[in-house]
Amino acid sequence: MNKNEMLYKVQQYNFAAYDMLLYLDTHPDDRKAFRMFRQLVEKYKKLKAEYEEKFGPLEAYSAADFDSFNWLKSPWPWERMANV
Amino acid sequence: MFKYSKFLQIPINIRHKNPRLANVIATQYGGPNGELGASLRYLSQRYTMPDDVTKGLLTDIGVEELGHLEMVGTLVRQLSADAPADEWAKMGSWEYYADNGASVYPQNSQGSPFNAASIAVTGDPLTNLYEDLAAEQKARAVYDNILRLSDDADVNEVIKFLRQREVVHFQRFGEALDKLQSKLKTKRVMGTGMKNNC
Repeated sequence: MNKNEMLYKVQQYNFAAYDMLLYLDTHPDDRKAFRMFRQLVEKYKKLKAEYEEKFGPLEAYSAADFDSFNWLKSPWPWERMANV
Repeated sequence: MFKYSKFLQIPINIRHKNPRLANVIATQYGGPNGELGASLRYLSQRYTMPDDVTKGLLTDIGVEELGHLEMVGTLVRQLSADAPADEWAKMGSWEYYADNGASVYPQNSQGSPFNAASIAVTGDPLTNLYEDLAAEQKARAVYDNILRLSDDADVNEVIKFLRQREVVHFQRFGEALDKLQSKLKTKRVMGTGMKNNC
């Protein structure tokens, strides 16, 4: 998987987890939904960690995991390069 | 993508109710020099900034301002929560209470709702940074005014913290301006700021 394919996976799992979050906000006792939420968040965290290790931080404090400060590196999310 | 953290930058615990002071502090929620305008200003300016330093700095300060918006909202809420109606009549603004109850509403201290006319987003990087420097000074000045109006030690501790952050942001914007100016100078397109790919 190349950089943007990996990022797309991160985006997909992040979105799926967030959609589950909203469902749980109004159905906090739904155990099945909670299990799905846990799986989605776990997968998201794993994919995000893999992406960051290879390509750099997706959030500011992740920049602390690198040898030098690489938070400012392009592209930024509104730029086409981050969305191809 | 934004992510929410369930804590404030510093703890806020206001012991004494004061709806009148809440009405005044609400201007830093939705007034012309408030935190809502600050975050919208920086987060909107980002899109046309020419280099990674300014894109990153405007993102990071814009996000911090959203956190400050929540802190000002917390002040307003704690100052006005559960205050009885007669306390609002004596100490608060009747007008605010009539429309909003003890809510947190983005308006200035005189009741005008939030207006994006109080922020400028020009597409010119240097103009944007000068706007930001001025905005930080104006926000700092309003916090100074609030400190002169308030004798509540709990409130003032938080206001002083927010005031200090304006000073730090001013410093960082100044450094970003210096960096951008020297970059533009070497490219001999000083003042245009556009299409220089720096």
